[in-house]
Amino acid sequence: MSIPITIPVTARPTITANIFAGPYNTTTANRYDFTADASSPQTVLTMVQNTVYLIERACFSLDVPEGDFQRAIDSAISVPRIYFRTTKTNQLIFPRPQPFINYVDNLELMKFVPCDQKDDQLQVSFECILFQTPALVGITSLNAYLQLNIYEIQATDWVKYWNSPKNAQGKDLNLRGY
Amino acid sequence: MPTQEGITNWLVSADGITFTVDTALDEVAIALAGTPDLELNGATKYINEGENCIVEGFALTFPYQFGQGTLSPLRFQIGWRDSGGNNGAVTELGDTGRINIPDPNYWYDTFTYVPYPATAAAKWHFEITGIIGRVSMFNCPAGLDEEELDIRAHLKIRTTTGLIA
Repeated sequence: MSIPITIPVTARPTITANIFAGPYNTTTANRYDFTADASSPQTVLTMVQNTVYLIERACFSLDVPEGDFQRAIDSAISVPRIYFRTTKTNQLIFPRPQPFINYVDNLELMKFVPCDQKDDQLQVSFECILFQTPALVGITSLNAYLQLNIYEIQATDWVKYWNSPKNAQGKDLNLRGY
Repeated sequence: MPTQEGITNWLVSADGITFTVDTALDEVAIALAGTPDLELNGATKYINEGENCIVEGFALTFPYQFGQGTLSPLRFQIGWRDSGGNNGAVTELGDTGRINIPDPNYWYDTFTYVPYPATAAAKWHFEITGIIGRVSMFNCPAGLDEEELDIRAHLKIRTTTGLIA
């Protein structure tokens, strides 16, 4: 299912890529641990002031077969999850971390992220600790891949309405088209 | 199966599995002294605490041209032991670690996943905990009479990280 929403035709699509490494037996004994990446978030993109970004889709996978990844999840410790935040406000973009218990291709997110500060950055961190299952014996490090489709919306009127919808008392607020 | 980057080690027993040549007999029994470690480079090498491994194969080699006697097949038992002295059978292999060997001097593949034993509490290694079999004296040179000779047990294991001392 997709959510019908229209953004300006001038919105610029950006595809981002982040790779997280989970070495074996390094951060945590006998586990693949991505914690080092979680404690030092990666930059997804540097945002432009007075611009609204739409995180539209996400793709997620590891460099091992999906079943091997799922069998390696230790739900008693943590479900693999991703956090988005901006550096200036240091607030989570989504109210809760995004859990990933399988590989996803074109997962629809549809989250608007306004940027009203200079030199702000969208950052992502990945928390994940995995068991070593039979299929993973011999693999010294796992990589997780996150790809996002993000639209950068700089259309002046659209962004103005986004930032101050009350100015138009609602009736002129038109986020469905421009 | 993803690309494997791990480390394969060939382990071998140094001594403890012997037989004494007796040309007056048709065959002699194999004797086991203690629980010989499976060593690498002349010393016991351990798998990291908590780490799992895959046993890729095993073999039993007789010296010279000796072959097995009439009690067939050969059988040995593999166990584990940690550096703190905890030990037990490797239940993932054969019947609680007991494996029949159809023919000595031949390599057998197993590719068996052996997880870190539940009751282990430290770095761990493999050892031979039992062996049964006979060695044929057929065509044995008289010059070897009464010699005590070693039989070697071999195990090939794959780990993710290297073995430690």
